Amino acid sequence: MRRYHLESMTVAATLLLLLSGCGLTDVSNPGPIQDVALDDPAAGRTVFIGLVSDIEVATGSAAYYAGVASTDLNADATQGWVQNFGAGRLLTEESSYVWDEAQSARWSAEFGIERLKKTQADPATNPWIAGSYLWAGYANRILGDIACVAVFDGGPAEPNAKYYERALAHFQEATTRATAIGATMDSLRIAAAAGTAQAHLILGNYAQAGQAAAQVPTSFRWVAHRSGNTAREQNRVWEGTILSTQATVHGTFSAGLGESGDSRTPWKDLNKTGSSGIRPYYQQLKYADRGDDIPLAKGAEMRLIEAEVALRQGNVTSAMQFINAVRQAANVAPVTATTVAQAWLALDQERHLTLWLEGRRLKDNARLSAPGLSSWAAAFMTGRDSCFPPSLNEVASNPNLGGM
Amino acid sequence: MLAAQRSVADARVSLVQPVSLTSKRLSALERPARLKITDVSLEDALRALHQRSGVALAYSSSLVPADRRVTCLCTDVTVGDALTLMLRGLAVQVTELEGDMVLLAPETQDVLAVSNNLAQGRIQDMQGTTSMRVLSAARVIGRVSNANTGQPVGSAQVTVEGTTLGALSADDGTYAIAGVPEGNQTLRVRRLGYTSLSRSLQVAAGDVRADFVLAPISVSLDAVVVTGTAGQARRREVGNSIGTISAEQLATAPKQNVSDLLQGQVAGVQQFANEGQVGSGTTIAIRGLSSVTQSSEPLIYIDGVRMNNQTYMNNTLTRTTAMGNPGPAGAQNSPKPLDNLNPDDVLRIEVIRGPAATTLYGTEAAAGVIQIFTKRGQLNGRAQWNAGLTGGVRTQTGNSLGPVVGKDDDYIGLKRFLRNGAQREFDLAVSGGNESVSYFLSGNHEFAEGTLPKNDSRRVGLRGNFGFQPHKWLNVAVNTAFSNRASNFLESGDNTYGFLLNVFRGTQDYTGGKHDILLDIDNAGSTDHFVGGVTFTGSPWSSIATRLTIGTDYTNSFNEETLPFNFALLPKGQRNTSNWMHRTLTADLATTWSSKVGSKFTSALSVGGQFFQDLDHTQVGTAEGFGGPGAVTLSSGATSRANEAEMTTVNAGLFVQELFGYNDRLFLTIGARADGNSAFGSDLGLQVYPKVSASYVLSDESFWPEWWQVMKLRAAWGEAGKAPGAFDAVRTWTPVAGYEAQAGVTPANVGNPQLGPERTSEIEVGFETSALDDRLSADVTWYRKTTNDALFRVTTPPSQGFLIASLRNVGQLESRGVEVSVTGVPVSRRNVNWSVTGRFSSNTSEVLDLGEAAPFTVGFASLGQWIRTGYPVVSIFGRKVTNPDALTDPTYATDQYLGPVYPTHNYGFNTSLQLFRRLTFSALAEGAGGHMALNNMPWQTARRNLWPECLDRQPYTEQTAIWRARCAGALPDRESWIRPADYFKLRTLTTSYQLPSGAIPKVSAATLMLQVQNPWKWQRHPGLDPELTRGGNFAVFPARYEYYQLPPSRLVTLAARLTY
Repeated sequence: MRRYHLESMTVAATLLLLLSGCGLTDVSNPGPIQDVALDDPAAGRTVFIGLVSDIEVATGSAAYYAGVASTDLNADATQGWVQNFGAGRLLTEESSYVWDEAQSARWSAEFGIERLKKTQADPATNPWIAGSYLWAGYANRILGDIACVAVFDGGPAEPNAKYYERALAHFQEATTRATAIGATMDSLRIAAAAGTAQAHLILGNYAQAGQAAAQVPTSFRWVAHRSGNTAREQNRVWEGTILSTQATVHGTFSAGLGESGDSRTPWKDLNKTGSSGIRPYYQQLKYADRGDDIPLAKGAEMRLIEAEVALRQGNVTSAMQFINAVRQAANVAPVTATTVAQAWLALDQERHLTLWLEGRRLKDNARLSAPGLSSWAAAFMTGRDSCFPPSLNEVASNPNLGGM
Repeated sequence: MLAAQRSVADARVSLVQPVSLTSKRLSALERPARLKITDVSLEDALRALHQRSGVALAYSSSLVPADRRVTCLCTDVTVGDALTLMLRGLAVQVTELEGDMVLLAPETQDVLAVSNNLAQGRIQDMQGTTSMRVLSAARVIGRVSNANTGQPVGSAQVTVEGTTLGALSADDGTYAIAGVPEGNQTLRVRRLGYTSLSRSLQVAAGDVRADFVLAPISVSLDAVVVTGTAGQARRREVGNSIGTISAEQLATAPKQNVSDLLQGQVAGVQQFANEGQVGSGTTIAIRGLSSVTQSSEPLIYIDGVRMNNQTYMNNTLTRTTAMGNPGPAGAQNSPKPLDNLNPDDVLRIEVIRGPAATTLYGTEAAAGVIQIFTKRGQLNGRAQWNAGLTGGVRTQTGNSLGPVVGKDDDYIGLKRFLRNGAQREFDLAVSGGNESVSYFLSGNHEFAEGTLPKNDSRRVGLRGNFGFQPHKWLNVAVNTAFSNRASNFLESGDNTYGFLLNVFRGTQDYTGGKHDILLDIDNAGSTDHFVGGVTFTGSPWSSIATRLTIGTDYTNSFNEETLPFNFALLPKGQRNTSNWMHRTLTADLATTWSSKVGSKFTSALSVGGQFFQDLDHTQVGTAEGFGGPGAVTLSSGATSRANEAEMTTVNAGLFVQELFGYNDRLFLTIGARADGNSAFGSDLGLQVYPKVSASYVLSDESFWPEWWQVMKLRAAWGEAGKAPGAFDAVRTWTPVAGYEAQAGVTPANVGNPQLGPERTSEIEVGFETSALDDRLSADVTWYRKTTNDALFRVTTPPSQGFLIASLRNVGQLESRGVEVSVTGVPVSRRNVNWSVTGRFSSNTSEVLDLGEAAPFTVGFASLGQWIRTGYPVVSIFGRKVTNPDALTDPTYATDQYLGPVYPTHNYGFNTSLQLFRRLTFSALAEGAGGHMALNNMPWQTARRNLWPECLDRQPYTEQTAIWRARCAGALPDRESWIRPADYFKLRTLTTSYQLPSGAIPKVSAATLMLQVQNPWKWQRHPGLDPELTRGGNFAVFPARYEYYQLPPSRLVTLAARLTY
């Protein structure tokens, strides 16, 4: 009888061979791209576009969540974490939307740089590598603006300033490479200068900040592109405020100016409450469409950096000139200030109007609330968290954080 | 008339005409002789040959010399060869006639004339002088019926012992076996759920009637079950528990879909409804959860072909995380492929509960296996028609809406939208066969209307099951089923446009209280589903059984959701479509060699292999911005987006198993299976799953008391697996669109080349027993299953780029419990029979080890449903009011364990009272408890000051702390709404009446049945229904989350079934 079992096994093996012959045992899964495929030099553009896309997504999250956590918006959310952000409670277990995307984007850019350096034929003049440095700089600047501590690649917690220092290094590398490539990279070079000004300002290097800002024309804009093409490309602020009604302009400085108070902070009273039914719903209209871009750097901000540099030197007049230049460009009436305190308040409010819903004001609120600076920022920050802690995922999986 | 002819002349056999078979069935001359005679007269030899082979013989008396004595050791030869041997030396021609008759005639005779005479009943040879002797085969006909009820018993196996002759009884209980040899024969009847019966019968020419009355029994150790090997195993041989749902249980079960058939019938099987809208599905779990990251639903086989029963994309459309999230969610239900089948086609169901029994099914079988067998025709069976007509009405009652909403005068605004939904079903089936082909053909049409507007579901099903016997040792079964299901739904669940979400929020909703505008949204799905396969079963030798099944399961589903132009909440309109295709290929080969060693030992060695390939292909699209009103396509939108995904997985494995038997009462089974899977990591080899089990039929021992008829002890241990997903082992990047729609990539899965399956090992012990003439029976099982290498999602630091937690084999889970099923027959008289079955099962789970993973939430974090070491799988943690009964403001303790999410125990009963053998009342009830549920809908309603429990308690300053926490303030404490979720439900009440024979001309059996589904329930949970959980692609499994889903409605149906 043993013969029959051998026959059965033979039949089974034959069946398997037949199935193999028909290709039925082959598995070819299209869709996700395997890591090794990206080492192909032809995939360089894909790597570059991908890393930029990640930073653009992170920009959207920072704009929305930091907007709710700062003076930009007030929460009226059914989403508990948004409600907490609005109340100034920025908790580890609720920070993943902000921390994780920004960290992944930073890693994606810096990993992308290294991959491109290995795979591209002429790395020194490769525009994707130059561009990657610029975007890596902005990725670090975004993290600096929202995160409490700096963490790199699973390493230990370091001071927040490390993000800006890393950003400066990337901006410098981008500038060097853009210069080497030539005039086609002028915009990138100016964007690097703008980023450099932003980073120096936070680090307290006011002179360097002013010098870098001066290189940027008032009309200049460098943006994170958003699009209605896919959900991932949508403007996150639009999702939270127009697609749904989780955050309202009601109760903010802009609301006090009225619906037509300042063209830079447009909003509309929908005559209903937000999702949670707590506040009247004033819908922001800066991003009326899901595909509206989010600025990362603007010339107007550079003028305000110059204003701050002047103010820190005690030059109220000069500071107000820079501020009113920005207002003039925005077609709004000038403001006046005769004291340093009034000037700081004016600067704070002007930064609010200029950088509204761009993910910048959480950092501004924190730093301008320091004694002797903006009284508005100081009042607002009372009892509120000023930055997002590492996310639960980072704390749980990064042994170097020691369960902080 | 002549079929074949051979000649025997001058002691030499020669074939004068080639044997040409007119059909694939064995010719009379090719049938096994099964004869062993020594030195008997030729006359006696011919008679013996007739009796043993069943072949009719006609011969002239003059051909049989009285003094001729023959010896024929013909056990393994054909009738033709036996005749050649016996007639050697005689001038005889052997001719096969139609009707399984063999004519022996002188070579000089005109065989055609003789055969014509025989056909006309003239028993004469050509000259009319010599008498013909005819040893004709008879036909045994009869009816099999239930001893208690008198109702017909279908699918009973009636065999003539010592021959290969036999038949299955039809649905009206009738059977017919042609070609039975004359003489004293023994007929044996076997049927799952009944006592076996043998009976001697004197068979003479013509029709002989033999009716059988079978007594139903709860524990039948000789009933056969499917175990994954080639042959069927007798229940006495199996060392693990197998739940069986018999045709009798199915007869009174609700039959709107196949999932209904499983409800409350087998201890340890739980079902969770996702949504009460018609066309929605349920989630099945056996013995609790065996995984927290992979599906915990059992494998489903239909007639041996594996069927995908994972939730498929129906009306969840593009609005998923995986495919983008362009808008709010859709119907959020989970239609199941299983429910595309016609429940009337199901003959019986076997439930194999855990790895102790599913080892031979290998990877993917850790959560259990459900085998569904469909009806078949019978060879030589007359055509039997079955027709069924069902009509009914579906209503949403106060009771079905829960203890709070249901007691509100207008159901918190829902009442004006509710309607009575119609239920109509028509099914027609015919089965039968001739000598070579059996068939079962059926058609079914069901229309179900929901209790909310725009919700309905239509199903059309066709089935063709065929059987062939191309060779004496080979049977071929071809099973095919096709169905189309088309459903319309209202938006539901956690969804901006969700109907209940907006209605229960009054004017504080997304529509501003204008709920009717939500009826403008169209939400429809249509599914084509085919399951088909061919099974070859061969026994070339009596000791060898081989089975090969090749089949496919194919589903194609198209779904659409349209928010029309000028829709109030999105004036420019939106359309979402999805097309989803799934295909499973099955190839399953198994061989069993049975042998006897000495007089007491038996052996059954089985080997086999299986191959499965799963292919999923999904295309989704969305468009916005329609130019004007009217019908739209994706092309009508000013903007549109599309996504496509495709995934193939392959699983293949080999198994070997040896079953030792001693004295037909002690059995030991050992076996193992080795599997490969395309989803395993590249560094991982074949996975081997071992098993061992034993059973001991104690009641067969001589010392066992007679009044205690059955006692079988059993124990089993085994392992099975659960594979990760297709891409989980590989480091991948997801394609994304960047600036100006250029292609980019973003980190997706960090990958793990060591990734393997979850391995779940299980030990179970138990017994099956029956006593007092089967008036009391029980099936008791204790089990403990441990999932080692449990797949948990382990996060890598986000600062290292990859945000999707990758699967690692790091965890360990355990669940244990008992399953008890007790059946009693308190009254068993001729005209009154009352039976009661009680079922209880417990399941206590625990996370033993998280490995590298940190404690993590499932579903989404705000649900507070956790996987934490030392706590049940899944547990709710949250804030707890520490002074619940104090008349003061609440104080809280944070991060408190509040209870398990899944029931720790389930119980139920079904009872049947039969009066006068025609009238039957039956009831089925189920309950569960020990778990907690988050009442998110009541919380949302309370915070809008619309929840009756809160409105009735104002002012809150006079209330206890717990009620202040639940109701007071603009934002009441949500976690205080986590409350016990125990429930008890009366699932069905059924009354059936079997009309007397002849009440309807030409109808052999007729039954009327009045049934009420979901007539009543009790629940501690204040929400709509504690069994509901969000489903579809929006499922939060293994978390559970009731959130604005419609509860199941009450359905009253009247059905008529006719057999003719």
